[in-house]
Amino acid sequence: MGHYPLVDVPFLGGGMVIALIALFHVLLAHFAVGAGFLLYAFERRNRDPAGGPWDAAARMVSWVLVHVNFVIGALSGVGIWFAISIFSPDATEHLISRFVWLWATEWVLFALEIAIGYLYYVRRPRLSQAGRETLTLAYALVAWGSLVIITGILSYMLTSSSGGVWASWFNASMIPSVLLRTGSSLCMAAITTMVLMRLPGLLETPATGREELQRLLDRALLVVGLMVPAGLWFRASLPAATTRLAEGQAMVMTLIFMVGAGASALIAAYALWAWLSARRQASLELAVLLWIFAGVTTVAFEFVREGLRKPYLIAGHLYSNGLRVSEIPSISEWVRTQSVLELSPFVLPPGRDLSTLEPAARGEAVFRHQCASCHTLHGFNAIVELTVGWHREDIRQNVPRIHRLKPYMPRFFGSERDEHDLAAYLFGLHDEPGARR
Amino acid sequence: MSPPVVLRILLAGTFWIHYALVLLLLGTPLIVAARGDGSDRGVVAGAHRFFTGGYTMLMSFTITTGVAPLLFLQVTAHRLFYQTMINGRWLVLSSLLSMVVVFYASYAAKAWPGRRRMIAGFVSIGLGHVVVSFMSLRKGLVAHQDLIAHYWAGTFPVPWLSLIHHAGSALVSTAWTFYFLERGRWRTAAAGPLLFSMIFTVIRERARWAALPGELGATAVLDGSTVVFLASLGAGTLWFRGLLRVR
Repeated sequence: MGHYPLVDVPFLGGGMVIALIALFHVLLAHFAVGAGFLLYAFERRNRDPAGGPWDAAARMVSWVLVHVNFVIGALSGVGIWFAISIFSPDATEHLISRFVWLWATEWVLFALEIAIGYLYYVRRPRLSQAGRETLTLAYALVAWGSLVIITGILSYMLTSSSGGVWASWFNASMIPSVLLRTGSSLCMAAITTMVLMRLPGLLETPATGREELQRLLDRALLVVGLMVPAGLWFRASLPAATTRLAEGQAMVMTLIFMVGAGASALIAAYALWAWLSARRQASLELAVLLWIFAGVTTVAFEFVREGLRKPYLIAGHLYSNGLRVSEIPSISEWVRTQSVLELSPFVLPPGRDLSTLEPAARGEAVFRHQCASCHTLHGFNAIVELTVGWHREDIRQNVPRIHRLKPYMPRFFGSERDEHDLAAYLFGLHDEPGARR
Repeated sequence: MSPPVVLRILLAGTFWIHYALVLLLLGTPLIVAARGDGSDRGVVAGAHRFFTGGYTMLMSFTITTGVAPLLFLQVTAHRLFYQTMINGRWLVLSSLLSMVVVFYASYAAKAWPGRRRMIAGFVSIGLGHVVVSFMSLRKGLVAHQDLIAHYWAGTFPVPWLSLIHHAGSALVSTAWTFYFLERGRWRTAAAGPLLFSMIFTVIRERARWAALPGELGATAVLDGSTVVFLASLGAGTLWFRGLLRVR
C-alpha cells in the first residue's frame, strides 16, 4: 500500500473523476453497441422493394456513430485509461497484468469496430444489399464482442476468483452482467434513435415511415422484460454480504438502486403500453423523457455496481484504500508496532521526515494514506461532514473498528499511534473557519 | 504472462504504426494551412483533398492505434508508467480535451472554404503538436510529487524544441506521402510515414541515450529496394526508456 502518490482533486476526489468520465463513456458505448444491432435490423428490412424508412434511418444512425461515438466516445475511452492510471494505479496495474491478452483482444475488436464502421459509412451508397447486411452484422458482432470482454473484466472486480485468467474472466457474475449490458445497450440505442428521429433534419422520411420505425424501436424495448431474470441471476451470483449493501445496509446505495430500478420500470411500462396499444407515434418530449430514464438507469446501476465492490476495489485482492490483501501478512506486525507511514514515503510533506512531524501533521499523512482515496475534506463524501459532532476520543475509538461498524469501509491499517494521530487531525479540522462542530 | 521480449516487440511495432499516423495527422494541416485557398496540383493539392476527405478518419485511427502501445507500455513499464501518469496528471487529462477540439476543428474545416479552412488547419496544427509534445515529453518526467511545477520551471524550453522536431518530422513524412500519391505510387506513399516513424524514433532515441542495450536489426522493403537499418527494441517505448534512465 502507498505504492503511488495520491493525487488530490479538490471537492470531487479522484474516484469521482474516474466515475464522471466512465459514466459519460458508458452512455456512448452502450449506444454504439446497440446501434450495431439496430443497423443490421434496418438493413435487413431494407430488402423490401417498397422502401420504407430504413435507408434514411441507417444513414442517420451511422452518421451519429461516426461523428459522435467515434470522436468523443473513443476519446472518453482513452480518458478512462488515463484517469484510472492516475487515480487508481494499483487496481489498474493488477487488471492490466492479469488480463493483458484479453485487453489486447479487446483492442483488436475495437479497432475492427472503428474500421468497419467507417467502411460502412463511407462506402454505403456503393455497397450491395448483401454487403450492407454483412458489414452491419460484422460491426454488431465485434462491438458486442468488445462489450463481452470488458464486462468479464469488470465483473471480475466484483466476483473475482482465485483461478487462472480464464477462470477469473469467466467469473460468477460475468454472464448475467453481459446479458444486462446487452439489454441496456439495445434499449439505449432504441431510445436514442427515437430522440434522433424527432430532431429536425436528421431523418428524411414520410410520416408512415416514421411509424414503421417507431414500431421497430418499441419492439426493441421489450428486451427490458428479459433484463429482470438477468438482474435476479446477477443478484444470485453475488455474495450475501455484497447484496446487503444495496438492500438497506448502505442507505445511499439503496436509494440510488431504487432510483435506477424505478427508472427502468418506467421504461418497461412504456414498452408494454406501446406494444399492447399498437401506438404509432412518440412525441419528442416523450422520447427525451425515455432517454432521461435510460440515462438515469444506466448511471444508477453503474454507481451501484461500483459500490457493491466495497470494501474492495477488486474483490479479494485490493481494498479501496490501496491495501493489497496479499501483503497483509507480511506487513501487519511491522505496522502494528511502528507506523503505516514508515511504508509510505509519498504521503509525507515534501522535505519532511516522520520524526519531525507533529501529531496532527502525522494524522494528515495517515488520512492521505488510508482515507483520501475515497474521502475529500469538504466536498464529495466529505470527512469533515461525516465527523460533525464527534469528539476526538469518539474518532479514535471508531477508527480501528470502522470496518465492523460500516461493512463497506475497508479495515483501518495502522498502529495505535496512527489512530491517535488521525483522530487529532480529524478533530482539528473542525476548528477551521467554516467547519461545524 | 508472456515473455517480456514479445511484449516489447509488440510495443515497438504498435507504436511505430501509431507514430506514422501521427506524422501524417500533424503534417497534413501544416501543408494545408500554408495555402488557405489550396492549389490545383502537386503535394499541396493532395493534402487539401485529404484534409477535406479522409482526414477525420485518419484521426480516429490514430487515436485507436494509440491505445495498443498504451497497453503494452503498461505491461512492460509497470509502476514507472503509472508514476509518470501521476506526475503529468492534469497535462495528461487536458490533452484529451485538446484532442476533442482538434477533432471537431477538422470537421469544421471540411465545411469551410479558403481562409477559414486555413484557420481550422492552424488550430489542428497548434493543439495537435502541443498534445504530441506533451505525450512524448512525459519520458522526461522524474519521480517527484511536485512534478508539474518542477517540469515547467526546469524544462520549459524543451516543449518548443519538441514541437519544432515534430513539425519537421511531420512535414517531411506528409510531403513524401502526397508526392508519391500524386504519382499513383500508393505503396511507396504508405511506406514513407512508417519508415520515417522508425527512423525519427531511432534517431531521437539514439541521440538521447547513446549507449543502449537490446538493439534489434530491422529490415524494411521500400518499393523494390531494401533499406536496412538498426531499430532499437525499445524505440517505441519513449517514456519507458527515459524512466529507466531515471531509475
